[in-house]
Amino acid sequence: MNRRNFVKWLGVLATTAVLPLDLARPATRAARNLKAALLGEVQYVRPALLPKVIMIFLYGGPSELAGNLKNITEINANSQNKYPANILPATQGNVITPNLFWGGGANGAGGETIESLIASGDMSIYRTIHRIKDDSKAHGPSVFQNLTGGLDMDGPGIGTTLAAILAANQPFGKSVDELLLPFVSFEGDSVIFRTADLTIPLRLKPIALDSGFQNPYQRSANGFVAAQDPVIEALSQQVSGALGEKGRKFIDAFAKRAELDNFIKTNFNSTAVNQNLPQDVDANGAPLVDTSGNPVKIQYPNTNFGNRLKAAVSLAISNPDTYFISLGSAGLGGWDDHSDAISEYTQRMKGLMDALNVAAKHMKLAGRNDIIIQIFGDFGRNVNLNDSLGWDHGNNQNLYTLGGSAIRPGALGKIVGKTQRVGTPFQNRQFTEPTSDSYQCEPFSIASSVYKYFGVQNPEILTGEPPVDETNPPNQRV
Amino acid sequence: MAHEKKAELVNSITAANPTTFDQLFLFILFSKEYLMKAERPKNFEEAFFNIAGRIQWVPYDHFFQDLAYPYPSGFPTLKNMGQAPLTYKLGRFPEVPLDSLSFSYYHKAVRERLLIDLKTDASNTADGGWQKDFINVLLQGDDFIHYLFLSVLSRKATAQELQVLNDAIVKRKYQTNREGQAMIVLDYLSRLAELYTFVAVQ
Repeated sequence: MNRRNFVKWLGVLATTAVLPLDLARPATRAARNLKAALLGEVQYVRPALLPKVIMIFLYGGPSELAGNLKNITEINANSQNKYPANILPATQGNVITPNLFWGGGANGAGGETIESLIASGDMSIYRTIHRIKDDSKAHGPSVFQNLTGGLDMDGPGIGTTLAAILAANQPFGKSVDELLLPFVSFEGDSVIFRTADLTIPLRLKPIALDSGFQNPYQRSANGFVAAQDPVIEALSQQVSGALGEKGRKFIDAFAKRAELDNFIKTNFNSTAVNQNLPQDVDANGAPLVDTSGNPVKIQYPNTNFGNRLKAAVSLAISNPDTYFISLGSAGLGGWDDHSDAISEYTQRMKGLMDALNVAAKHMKLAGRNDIIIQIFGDFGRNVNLNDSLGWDHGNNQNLYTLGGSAIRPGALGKIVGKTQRVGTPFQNRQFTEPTSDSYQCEPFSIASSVYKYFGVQNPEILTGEPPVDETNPPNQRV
Repeated sequence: MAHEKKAELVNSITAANPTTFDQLFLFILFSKEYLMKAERPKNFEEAFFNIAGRIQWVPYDHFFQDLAYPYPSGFPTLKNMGQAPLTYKLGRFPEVPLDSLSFSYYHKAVRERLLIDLKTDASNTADGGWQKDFINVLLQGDDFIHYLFLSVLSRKATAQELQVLNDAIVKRKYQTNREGQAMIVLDYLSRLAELYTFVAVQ
């Protein structure tokens, strides 16, 4: 599609959706119109394999320390309050892993799991996702900008922008109207799916599902006649069909409702998902069986987050039409650790990593190398342990990125970025920043990466930033 | 609607010289064009409350709050139906969204919150639905089915519909169970496209 046709297409789609927003916030109108126009400049080449992306946004802004204890000695020496001795390299029997992650087993922050996921080539960590541009450490702007993928925090979310690009370029191999659950939210309404002035085809709008497998297409029981009683259903279809074109839209809508209801009931209910989990294997790859010889399936942590991740990964695996899933981090708790941080943060990180570990195994055993999981948050945190024994907002954060080796060969198994402590000793505003010879990127680069995976050749025009460089920066892994 | 036709309608309303909104709406709502010639999807209110008034439906205490709830919810809210008013009192989109999710919620609202929602406790205001008086009529068999059809669709059941629905009633042994009969018929009616659209009277 050329630019002229694209802009025309956008105009047709936009209809009246733009009106109230534009009246409400004229100051941002120019910026959003610019984004719509930029979409027309997108250079798109369909990748050989379309990816599936699961976004896990850690609301509140997680500390980087679970994935980066490189500067912990200096941090501790200058901190207003001391860190636990067991994460200091000088302590005998400390819990720091070889690549400077925060280990400690059941009481740690998941460092051993980070280490093993990177060693197995299932994950990479970028330690220098560094917010410099229009520096903000406030939750509102940071969440909105990171989830819209740019400074225009009133613009469309990453999911919506992606949907608009895909709708314009039709890479699916079938009509958009035939897609089943292409964009899914497991966190309800999210900025990542905010439409702003981009009106996208209805089929590409997100469908909200939950880990309880709530099915919005299901008819509840009547008690007197089955929801899908074949005789009643057949008669209603026949009578509705007699309306001809006048009833066509409703007939189609009823048919699609039944199709989605059936899909979710058949493939995406709790029982089906659990049945379809692959058989677990031991460290040597041998299938595991129980004492009765029955296959032992992989098992996600039975937590709110674990179940949500299981649902998301299962959907990505089982439904060829699902391309983009937003998960959020509900179930783990918020990451805004201003006080009493360490015990809660470590448990949260461990819960996150335990679930991701199973997800990585799930994808591997299912033979799927086209699913990418991206984990990041609002911003990083200071490294000074303040007088409430917590961390205030900072600029530098980690990106944990899993899976999708077929989409980005050579990108996994890496530790990227070097940091240094900055700030006046024994004052609160101490943080890490990339060293002068380190790779670094803005958080908006993560949105650019998502667009790139789907075939956008010049995502920087949408976000102002190039994609995360997954090729050139040196791997710091030892 | 063609521009000329729209202008003609506006002119005819203007010619009647309405001086209040009441008069203006009366002219429109009781016009031949609106009542007999409209051919478009009904919005939620047009489908739901028209029927609700005819089947003695009453809302439960918080029905309207739930209906207008603006946040994500499993309830068939106007937002879930894609029919919520726009912000800043700018009305709503003129088109009734019929994408699968929006329509699924629309159908859910009409089916589960209206047609198969029987108010079982007359004295409990937290319990809404159609009241049993609606089916306490001196009609039986085909006449009772016609009564339900007329109440909901403003037409009688066809011979084929009578046969299928009577078979379903007999199969479930509901010949003397008026509530069961009504539930089967009303559930069937909730699945008909004509419930959700205006069809011009020829």
